[in-house]
Amino acid sequence: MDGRRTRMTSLLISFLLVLILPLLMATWRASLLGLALQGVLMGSMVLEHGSAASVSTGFLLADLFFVRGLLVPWIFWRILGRQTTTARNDVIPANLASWLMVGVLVVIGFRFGRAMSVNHPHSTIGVAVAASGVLLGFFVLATQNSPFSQIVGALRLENAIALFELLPPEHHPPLLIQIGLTLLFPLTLFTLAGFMQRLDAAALEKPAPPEESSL
Amino acid sequence: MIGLLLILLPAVAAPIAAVSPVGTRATWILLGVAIVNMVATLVAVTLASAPTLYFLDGYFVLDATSTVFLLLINVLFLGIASYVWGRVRSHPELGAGMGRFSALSLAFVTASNLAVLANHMLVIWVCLELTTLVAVPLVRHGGGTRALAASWKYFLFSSVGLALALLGFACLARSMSLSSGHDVRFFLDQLTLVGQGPSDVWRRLGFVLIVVGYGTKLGLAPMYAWLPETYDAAPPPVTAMLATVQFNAGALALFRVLQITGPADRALVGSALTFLGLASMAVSSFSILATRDYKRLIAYASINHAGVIAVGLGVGPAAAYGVVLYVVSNAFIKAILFLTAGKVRSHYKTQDMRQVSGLIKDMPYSGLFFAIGIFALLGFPPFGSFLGELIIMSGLVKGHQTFVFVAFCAILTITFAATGRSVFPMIWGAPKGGDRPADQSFFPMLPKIAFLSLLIVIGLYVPPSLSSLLQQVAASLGPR
Repeated sequence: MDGRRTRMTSLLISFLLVLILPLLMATWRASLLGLALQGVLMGSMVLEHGSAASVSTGFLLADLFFVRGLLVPWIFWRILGRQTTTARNDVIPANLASWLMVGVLVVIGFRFGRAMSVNHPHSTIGVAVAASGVLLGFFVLATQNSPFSQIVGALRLENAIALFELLPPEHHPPLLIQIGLTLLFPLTLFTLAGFMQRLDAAALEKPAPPEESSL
Repeated sequence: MIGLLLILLPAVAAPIAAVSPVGTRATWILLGVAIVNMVATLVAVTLASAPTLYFLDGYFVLDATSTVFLLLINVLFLGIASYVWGRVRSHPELGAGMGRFSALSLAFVTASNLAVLANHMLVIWVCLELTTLVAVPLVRHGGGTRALAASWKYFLFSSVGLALALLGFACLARSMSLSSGHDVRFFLDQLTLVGQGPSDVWRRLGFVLIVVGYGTKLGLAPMYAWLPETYDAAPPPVTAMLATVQFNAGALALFRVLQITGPADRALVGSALTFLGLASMAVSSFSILATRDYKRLIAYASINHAGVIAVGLGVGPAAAYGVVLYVVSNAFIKAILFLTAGKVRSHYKTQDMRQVSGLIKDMPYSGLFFAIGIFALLGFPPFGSFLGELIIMSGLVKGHQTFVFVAFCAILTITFAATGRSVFPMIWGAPKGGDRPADQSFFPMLPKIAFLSLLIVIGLYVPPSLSSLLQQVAASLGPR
């Protein structure tokens, strides 16, 4: 039991590192690698829980390992690779204040985790990491204009929520709803990828005159 | 049961419309399915053997709330579909891309209907997310970079809002497993029972996140920034669909949240709604003061209306009937105004209110629709919005919420003055239309006539059967 708890804690701390490091490295490859590792780590957590083998668990693992761990980085890697983007991509503003803010948000996440888990101390770190993920996701969304960075922010938020749902006590929605939730994420992903291909940051910022609406 | 299954007809017809090579044929499919859908809804509602009917393993329910919203959404969709059909009929050059447009519209209404009928909070969430995914290409239909940017903003805000709601459900699930020992199930009837128990911090956090998340779909502050841009850039029928069909699916989700809220969480959810509602009303009032674009003005007024609904829901049982009446009236007002705004735009080639004058003389029918729509928007009698606002205000007074009452009245007064100052010269000023005759074809006008008739009927006389249905919905929002 203690061994399992230690391994879970290691996975959660790795998740926290994967949340923070890509923010400081500021390249699009690091952001995508970070998202992929988040998916893989969450999948590993499900395996570590030793969840009962069921179709629902199968869908969950497919969502975490295949969709979040593989499909997300692959799709955006291909798009960004084709768009001849420079390697650098600031997911948060590159200055000391922003890096400090990341630290502050993680501290807030941990304080929140401690405050919310008074009666269940074993879940403190899980809640803390998930809360940090949500806060950092919002921080990215709030500070960025470029479509790619906003997509990274939205996907970080989605992953943090997925992590929160994985925390014990375990609960799986009915199979039909699990399928619905699992299928929605790739649909969202393809829509985001469609925007990534079409959107040009300059076009978004430049005010355009009203167009003749077709209908 | 047969009638309810027919509601799935649009999903079946969507691929057929998508592959239709001729635009006019696709709009025929759109209109035909909307008519059959409406008839099926009426049959299902009329033949319902019990006040609350569960089906498909209890995942869906036909109760008073779903009946009202199902009828409302399908009437509105039928009107919008007939508008599209009429526009393409009188302007065949608009037929390009209508196969895809019709298919997506049918998918949109299917997801909305399923959200309305769902008896499971996560099914409602999944269906609302589906409406978002389907609406993205609709917002972009026939538009350029501006429509693309608007659809991106819409998608991003909606996704984040729905993610917040999902996080709220995760908090509720945690609360149920940790403290109350209940199995984690999100069926509405079971949640209603769980809600009667003592509250805890996870549950309170969950409810607040859900209210803020679903508030995004209604355009409530702080997540309202997508709404003016999207309503402005989307084609008029799509704006009407978002402002009426999707808005009401979102409103139903909020109604369901209130229906599962027990006495322990009631005050918190009420306060959150009141705060978000007042903030939305304030933001929209100042935006109405600043804007010179009539389509944006109606969009800001939509935020204002969402605020009124949120404040009414926050007040509780004393205002519940007013809220339901307001929601129903509001849907018809927005449909009339957005569809008319599209006509005005295509005649004057501008959305600047200063460039449009003498609408009532240049375009007598559209001018009349616009004038009546604006009066209803401002809450004049005899429209349902007047009675709805009055009941909400009396609820505030009865609840001794003096500060909210004063703020509510002050913001409504600012909205009234700002809207009148901008719009009345546009309607009754000196004509600017020149010699170019306005397009006054009958068919696109038909749904607006129908919406207007329904709006006036609801304002003057609510038939007893409908009144009883509205009262049942209002009662379901109160404490049990």
